[in-house]
Amino acid sequence: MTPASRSRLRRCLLILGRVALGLVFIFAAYGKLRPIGPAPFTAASFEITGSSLSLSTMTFAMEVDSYHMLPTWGVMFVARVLPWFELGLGLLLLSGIALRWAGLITMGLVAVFLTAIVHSYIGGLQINCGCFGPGAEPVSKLTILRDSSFFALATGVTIGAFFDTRAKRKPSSEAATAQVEGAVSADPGA
Amino acid sequence: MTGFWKRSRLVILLLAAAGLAWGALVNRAARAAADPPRVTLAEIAQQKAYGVKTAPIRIDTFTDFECPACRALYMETLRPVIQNYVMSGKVYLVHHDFPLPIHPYSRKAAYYADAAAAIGKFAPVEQALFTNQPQWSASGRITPILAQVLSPAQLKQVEELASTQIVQEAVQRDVSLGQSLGINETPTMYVTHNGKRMPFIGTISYPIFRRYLNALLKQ
Repeated sequence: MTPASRSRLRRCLLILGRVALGLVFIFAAYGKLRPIGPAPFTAASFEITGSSLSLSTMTFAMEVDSYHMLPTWGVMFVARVLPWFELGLGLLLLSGIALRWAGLITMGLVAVFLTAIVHSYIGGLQINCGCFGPGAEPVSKLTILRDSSFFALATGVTIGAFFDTRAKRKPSSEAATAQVEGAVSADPGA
Repeated sequence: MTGFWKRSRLVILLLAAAGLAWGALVNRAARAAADPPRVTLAEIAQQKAYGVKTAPIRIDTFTDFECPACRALYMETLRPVIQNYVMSGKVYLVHHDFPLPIHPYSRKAAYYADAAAAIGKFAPVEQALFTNQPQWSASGRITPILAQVLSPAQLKQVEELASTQIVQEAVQRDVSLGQSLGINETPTMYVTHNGKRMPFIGTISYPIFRRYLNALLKQ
């Protein structure tokens, strides 16, 4: 495999990884923001109104509260902010804008989720995960495994994004060096 | 003389009749006290619910009397809900027994609670069982706990009813309902409003639950 094809493969994997992660985050945000009741992905499930939003926020707050990790104000803050934050992060990952920072933040966020899930699982708390919005999805080994794979994916995307940026910078810095060297050799006074 | 004997015989006969009637009455009362009341599954289920059926929100709880998280949910969340939402007709709260096999005395406690429901004493017995859970769950001695909230006659009735088929069937019916809903953890709650049902697993603090109920009522 030539360095060029290796680089192309790396870029393809990076795009696949960030798109997958972006879709996961957008789906997670949708699950938390969508009105309670209508089946997912139906027209009614996209009709988000003020009152439907307040109910879905409170429903998500119930899931956050069941972790017993935050005071009431913390639960309310997370319930109000997290879905929108996930949506923004998902869109950033999908578009590839500020990918290094989006990847780093994703890694941190998934690490926090994973810690909360493992903590409640070890502590014997029998609760809903709440990862993709309300619904009966108890915290289990499977949810831990799933979030671990998301963490691995986020780590891969972040490392890939940093490599990609360095690889993009390298040719330009080499060109700049060559340009400087050329200018120096052309200068008769040097 | 003949008249005297006649009168005496009449008095004796009257006394005997009165004695027999008294005896029959006493015997009937004693039998009524000893016989457990006849109840149906529907009556037991109705006694395990708080509030009015027409309330806009219905909460179905599946709990195990021996589970500490169920105790926390009852003590910290459901009691204020009963006081602030059930009493005002906003919530209809239904208790379902879901004794887990890992708890050795939870099924026995559920039998006692349902037996208490059969005589209309579910609420005090539920409160006594959850409040004193650390005591009886260590020893399995439930009756001294029930004696705190029931009269000796009621306690006797509950003890008798707890071993009847109808009470055991009432508990099993709740367990089967929970299993059909896919429940395998306690506490699990189902909140139903406008025909939409939301499941919640685990304990939820009252300040958050209160906001959730208010958001539902605003819909």
